[in-house]
Amino acid sequence: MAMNEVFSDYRISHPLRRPKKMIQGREAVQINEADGLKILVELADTNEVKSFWGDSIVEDWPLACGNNDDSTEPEEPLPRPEKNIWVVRKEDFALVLEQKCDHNGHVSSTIQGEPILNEPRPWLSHTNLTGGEEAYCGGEMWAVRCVSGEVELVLNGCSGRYPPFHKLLVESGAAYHHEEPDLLDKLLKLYPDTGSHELESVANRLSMAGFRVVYVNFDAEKGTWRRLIRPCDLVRIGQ
Amino acid sequence: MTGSLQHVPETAVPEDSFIRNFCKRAFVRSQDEITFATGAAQGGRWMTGFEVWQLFENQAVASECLAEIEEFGSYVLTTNLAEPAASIKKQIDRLNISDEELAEKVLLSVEAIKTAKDPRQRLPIRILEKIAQEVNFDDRWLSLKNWESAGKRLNDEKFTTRLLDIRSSADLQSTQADSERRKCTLQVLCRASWTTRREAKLEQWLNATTSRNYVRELLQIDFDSEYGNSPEEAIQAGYRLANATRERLESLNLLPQDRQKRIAMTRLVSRQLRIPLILLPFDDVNIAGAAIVTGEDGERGIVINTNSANPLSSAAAGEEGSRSKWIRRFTIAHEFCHVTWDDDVHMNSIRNDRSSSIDSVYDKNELGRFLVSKSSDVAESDAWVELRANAFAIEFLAPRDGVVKTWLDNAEQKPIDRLKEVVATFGVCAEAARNHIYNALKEQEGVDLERVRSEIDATKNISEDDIQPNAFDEESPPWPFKDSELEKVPEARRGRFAWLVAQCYCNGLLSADSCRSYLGLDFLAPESIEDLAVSLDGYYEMKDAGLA
Repeated sequence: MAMNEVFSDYRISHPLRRPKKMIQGREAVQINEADGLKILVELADTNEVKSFWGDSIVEDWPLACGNNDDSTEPEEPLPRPEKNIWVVRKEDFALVLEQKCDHNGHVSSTIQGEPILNEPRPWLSHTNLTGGEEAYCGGEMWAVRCVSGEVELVLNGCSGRYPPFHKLLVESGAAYHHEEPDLLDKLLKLYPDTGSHELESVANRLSMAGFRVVYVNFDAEKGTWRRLIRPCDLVRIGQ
Repeated sequence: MTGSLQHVPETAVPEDSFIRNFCKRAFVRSQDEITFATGAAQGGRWMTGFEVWQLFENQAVASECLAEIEEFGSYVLTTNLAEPAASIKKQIDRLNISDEELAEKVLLSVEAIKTAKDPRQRLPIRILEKIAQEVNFDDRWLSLKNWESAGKRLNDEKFTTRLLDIRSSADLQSTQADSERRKCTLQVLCRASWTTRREAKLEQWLNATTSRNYVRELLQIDFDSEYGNSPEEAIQAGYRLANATRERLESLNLLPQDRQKRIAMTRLVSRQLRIPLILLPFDDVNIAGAAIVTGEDGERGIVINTNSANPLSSAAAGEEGSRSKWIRRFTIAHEFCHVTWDDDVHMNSIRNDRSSSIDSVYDKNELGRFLVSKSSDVAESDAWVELRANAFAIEFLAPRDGVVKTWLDNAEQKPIDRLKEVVATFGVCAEAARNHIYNALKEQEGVDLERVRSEIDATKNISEDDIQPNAFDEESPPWPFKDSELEKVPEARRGRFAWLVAQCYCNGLLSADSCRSYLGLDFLAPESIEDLAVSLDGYYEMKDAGLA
């Protein structure tokens, strides 16, 4: 199914939200294709997959499907050089490498063609994907290679600006108040603001669009997304 | 009341702005990661910055933690990904406890125990802490990065080894029931060890002391390895140490100069000398108590069996009769000798004293002659250690000069009344008093020993119940929390331990969540912790203990 099609009901039942947290420097400046912005679309074959992900595929991650079925070893945080940040926007699903480096290891990411080296935080933010506008949820994503050669998307909801909402918040009808930001803010204070529920919805839709998808469970104990991943933290969609 | 970091010794929180600011933060941890505390929705373990600082004790690591939380939302505590499962599994296996047994003890499912041992899985940190505490595993280091290189001991291998020695030593001759009892004993000692280590740590945080050294620093003494080469020499060594201890305590005004006054043993040991004193029921009624050395700094503590069979009492095991209290006083004095005067070699991690062994000071075939009653797990070389501690205990509780004076001052009374006077004055049981009176008078010049013997023998026809006073001055305050959540605090974690926990909370060192965990409760309102501090304060406060 087409990406827009699979996300249509999601966009009805989940609220648009203004970015949380203060924005510094050029964090709310919209990046473009030349800066590395990509719009995720259904990828028909291996050539399209290769072309879309380029060099950013994580090879040999033990917990990718089929790579280490008998593993008893948990895995460290996924590598930063291959980390994408993603946001479900009003019309599409946008992503970009959080921090691109050149062959010498120097940061080469840009915003509107200008290097980000001198920014307070020398990496891109979720608000660079939205220009600081309202959007649905966001997070981090890695494309990892399975033994079968297929690419599996591993995603979490780690976004300070557009965190996936907690189930209670979604069920509170927050989606229907998105034109009343103050009311949404009140609801945010009433309910836990983030959790796996909305991320699961996104993961399900990516799966419906033909991707192999795994999402990383939210750590309710400390209220943040997990960085150190153990096999029990991974939820494979449709398997 | 919290977050003040007042009255905290500089050894616990150095006068450094970075460290002080770090200690004022609040954190929440899960099994593998830690982050800032931001809201009630965080279901993990809430910790004060001070607690987290105690884990790192290193400014570079603390800075790295703050930076990583700011950038990534959390700090990963572990680098050894097999942890904490590997250490938990190893310790459970070493103690030879089945998953089912452990699950029953900690009121968890067997599945939870299996999950704790599986590195592919994870558990809520609170459940891991419960399991860790039960198997004498320092739950503060669960998953922690670099704990090994920092010289921290996750589990105390020496202690565990000694536990297993005790268990295996009787296996050849013991029945299945004995074996089961010994297994339970190991688990009780594990619990006592955890409490000892944690109490020593709280004491160190709050009062800049360690229980291992505090007594010897206070009394300005060192270990004493003179045990003698005969029973008489061991007894004389015990007398010498008892008198040396009393003299130092008297000079510090911790004991009255008047040697005809009863010593409040619980108060002295737990409150004034800050030796962890833990009351726990053992399944094995023959165990009176134990002295233990455990933890990263070799902390020492005393555990008393509240289910002990009193060999001199007609009361059932565990029954809280007055005679049981006399025996408990003797046991405390006996273990006090071990933890104060025995070096690590003679302590051998645990000194597990059976009631029959403790009774040896009274066990005799003629008045004035001590025999050592060896139980199966007391080796020959240990005999003098035990005998010295027994002699110490009786002399410490009832100094011979005081006993002689009491006996002679009441010469016009009947022997039974004189005996009652000695029993009531010093708080020792009648059987011990008889022996000690004879031994003390034996050393006096011009005493007609034959007459003394007949006078003492005349008291033997009177039943113990007629001699023991029923009234007993409580040495320690009863647990004053009826019909409240604090009533559920296990006996082993009451007393000074509970007071230290509450004081650490009130001084901003411990979070309410940590207090709950330390006190073995699932729920406890912050106000209740403050109540706890206030209620026990009068008894345990430093200045009241004469040590301000």
